Amino acid sequence: MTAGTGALAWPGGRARWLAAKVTGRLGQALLTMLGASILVWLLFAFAPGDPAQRALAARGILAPTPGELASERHTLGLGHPVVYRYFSWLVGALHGSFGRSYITQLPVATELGSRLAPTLRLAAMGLLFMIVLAGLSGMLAAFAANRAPDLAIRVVTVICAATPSFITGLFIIQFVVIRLGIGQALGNGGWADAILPGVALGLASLAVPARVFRQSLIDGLESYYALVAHSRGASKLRILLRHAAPNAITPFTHAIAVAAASLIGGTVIVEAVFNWPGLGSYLIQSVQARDLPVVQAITLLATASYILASLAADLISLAFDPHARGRS
Amino acid sequence: MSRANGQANGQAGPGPVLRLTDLHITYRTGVHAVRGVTFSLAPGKCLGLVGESGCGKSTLALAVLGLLPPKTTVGGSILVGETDVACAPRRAVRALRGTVVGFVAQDPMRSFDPLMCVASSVEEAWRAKRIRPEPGTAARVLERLGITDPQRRGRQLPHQWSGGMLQRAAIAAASAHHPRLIVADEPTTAIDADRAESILAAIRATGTTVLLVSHDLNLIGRYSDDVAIMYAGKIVEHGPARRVLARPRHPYTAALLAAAPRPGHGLPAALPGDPPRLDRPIQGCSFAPRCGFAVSRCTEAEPELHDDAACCRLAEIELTPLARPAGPGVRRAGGAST
Amino acid sequence: MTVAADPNLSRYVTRRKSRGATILATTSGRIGLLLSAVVIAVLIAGLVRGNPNSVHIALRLHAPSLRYPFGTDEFGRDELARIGYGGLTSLSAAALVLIIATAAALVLGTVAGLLGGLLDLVIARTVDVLLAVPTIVLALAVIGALGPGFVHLVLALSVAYIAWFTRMARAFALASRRRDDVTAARLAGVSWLRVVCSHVLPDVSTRLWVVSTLALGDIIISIAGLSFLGLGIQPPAAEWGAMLQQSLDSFVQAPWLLVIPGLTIIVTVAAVNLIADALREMNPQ
Repeated sequence: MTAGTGALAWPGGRARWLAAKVTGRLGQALLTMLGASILVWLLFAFAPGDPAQRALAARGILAPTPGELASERHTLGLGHPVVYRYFSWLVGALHGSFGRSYITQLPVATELGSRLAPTLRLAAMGLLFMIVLAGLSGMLAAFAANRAPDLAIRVVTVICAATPSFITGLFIIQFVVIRLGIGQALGNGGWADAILPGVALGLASLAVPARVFRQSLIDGLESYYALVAHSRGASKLRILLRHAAPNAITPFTHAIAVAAASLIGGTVIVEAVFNWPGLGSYLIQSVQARDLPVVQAITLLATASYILASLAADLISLAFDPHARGRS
Repeated sequence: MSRANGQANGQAGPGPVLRLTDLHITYRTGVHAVRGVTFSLAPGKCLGLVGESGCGKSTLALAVLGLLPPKTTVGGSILVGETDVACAPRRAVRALRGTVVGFVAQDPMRSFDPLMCVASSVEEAWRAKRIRPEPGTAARVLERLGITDPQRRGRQLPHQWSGGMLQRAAIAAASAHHPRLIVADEPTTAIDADRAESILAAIRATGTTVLLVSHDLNLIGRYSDDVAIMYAGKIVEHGPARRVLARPRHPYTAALLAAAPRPGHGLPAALPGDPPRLDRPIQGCSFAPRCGFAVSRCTEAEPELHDDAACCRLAEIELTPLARPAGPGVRRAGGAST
Repeated sequence: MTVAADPNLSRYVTRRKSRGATILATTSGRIGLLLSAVVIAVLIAGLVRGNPNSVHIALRLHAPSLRYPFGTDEFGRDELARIGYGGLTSLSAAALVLIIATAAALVLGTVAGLLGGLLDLVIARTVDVLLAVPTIVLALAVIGALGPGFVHLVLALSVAYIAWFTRMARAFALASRRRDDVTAARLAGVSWLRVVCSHVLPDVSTRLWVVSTLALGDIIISIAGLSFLGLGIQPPAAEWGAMLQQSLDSFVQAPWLLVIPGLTIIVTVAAVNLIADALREMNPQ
């Protein structure tokens, strides 16, 4: 009797099914990225006021002469039609060029380059803490479901969900850095300094993934195959780690991907709290100074990271999909 | 082949493999699911436990493995060899599971971890006890149960196997360690009818002592040595399978047999009414409300098992022997059909 | 015969339970209401204390005392009064964002879900793109284009949350379209407009409000965060996030200026989240 659904029912077999799925997701990600680039560009092209005037004002020239305005308009390429300006900006972006900062007149890309690494380190730390803390607390809460440890974790996650990352950061600075003398309030962008702000980031975003992981693990512990594994002599711990956890990875990964959005947003504000030399603090400075090309570029980068994170999550859950794993 | 414990094939060992004494099981919700069950199971024999849904048979099957939900009250004793599952410490009961007592569940499609290959699931009882099985053990056991190309198929995931094959794998998992007892809880209910018989044959072919739970009296009767009919948490008839099927002594057994479709005998006679609620004490014979032979004294006292059947009117009623075509007979490992 | 009178159809008639009574039935609801009571008490205590912006340099940086239960800041302003008025500002901004975003999403989502076709495609794809930008970043981008201030803050956050709520509302509308009572009404000859108004809209609306209140805590956090950066509500207006920014100058010697607004935000958001959880438990769809 032939067996199998899903992957084996796909014409061409499992490898083709996987390829189709991956290409589909990649295509989707690219399309969304394209849409986001249009959105970002439109936001700034159609912002109220005259872009040339704004650019000059950002440099401190508040009452420009008609000559200065005209030359600025020419520099910014404002004479060309909208669609042309979008595409020239997009092509430039694909080559790594995002125009010039209104304020410094230097290429945006240079400044971005030097600030990228510190932000990546901070975000990585935050992600690490979020995944580890959410994973561990989810497992503990599921193992001791509805008993004291579970309730305690529930209380802690409610508090974490209610505490914005910048407040945690401020509290850390007040009580850990200043009172206990551990760590730095002015981060230098390195890995060691990224630990404290990373904790602040991770704590703020772990609530939903922890809850999702706990529920999926409980579903696994109460499932039919868990009962059968029990009948074969498996202990509850073994069932949790060896059976329930792998089957809970998919929903957990999706919850982490969604939390990645708030992680990215949190990174921006936490960089302000810790004076972190990254893209987030640069974004804030640029928003305050109305330096639009920089804001455009960083917004696009942030969007790209989020889309990448979602894509990564989808690929990971594909790896844990039984239909993708079966060998023929 | 590595053995997780020193137990040999189920035929050996003195004394009954399973002995239940006055077993009472009450769930946390107050439902008194098993109300005083006593029987013993000799080595190598197969006992078929038959009844409607809700009669307590699945509860009993789970109880033998110590798999009842927490806060369930268990009275009496469940002796598996020398261990009383009803009151032994958790560690001792867990030591039994998988290696001394095997379990075959009802739904093979859901019995397997979707992310673990079938061969690993078959070896679960060893891995759970941190024993490394010899390479190829699972393949050997699967082949014995009729799976072709077991090396390659064993590395596949459950969704790539059919229901019938998975149930064979479940039997392999339950029997691979040469347990003293296999408990099979409705092993054919979720299987296509044409495959059901081969599954039961496979279970008997392992040669182990079997407690076979089902709602299908005719099917089970053909593959068991003895049959016990359960109703409302008690055993109402208990005897050799051929005798019970040919000459039932309890009105409920007769009703069960009559309710099965038989070509050439007209429409099956369905049993009217419902089983009694088990969250309240029962007055008198639990079957009396639906029994065609009930008289007033049936509602006064609950009859005990006497002469293979629990009916106070045993000597008085004459149940028409049912003309049934002879079945394939009881299958036993290494033996001819009887 | 009205729909409600036929007992067979009674399961389609939703009975509205008394909201207050059943919130108290859940633990989250109980704790949420308790915390809300605490917050409201603090807000009222702050609001009755008078002008939050009146400066008394002589009284600057006083620790909490009987006269000033929350102390004074570096300009000698009464911290309790600032918490009270700040709460009013923060919470009214949050409520505004919630109402605008939910109302707009209800319309957009229902239209997209029910009408389908090109309109649905455009709305759904635009929502997908908006949702690809992390909320704070999107809000910063809008503020970057428009400038800081209360109105722009509300607008920026509304854009982000409209996208999220529209996606949910569209899903609810799609599910609603397939429900049996909608089909039954249409078969009975009821016009689309009446069906939408009496069957679809109430259903989508209830489910959407349950989901959107879950976001209220996040909205409050976003407002506090953006104001902390100086890009939301502008000083000297009192606002919890802005107060945290102002405390940075002196929080070493005056820790209460950091801890009190911080704790207020935490307790308020926790209360809102718990009540939203309780509402969700009561509406298990």
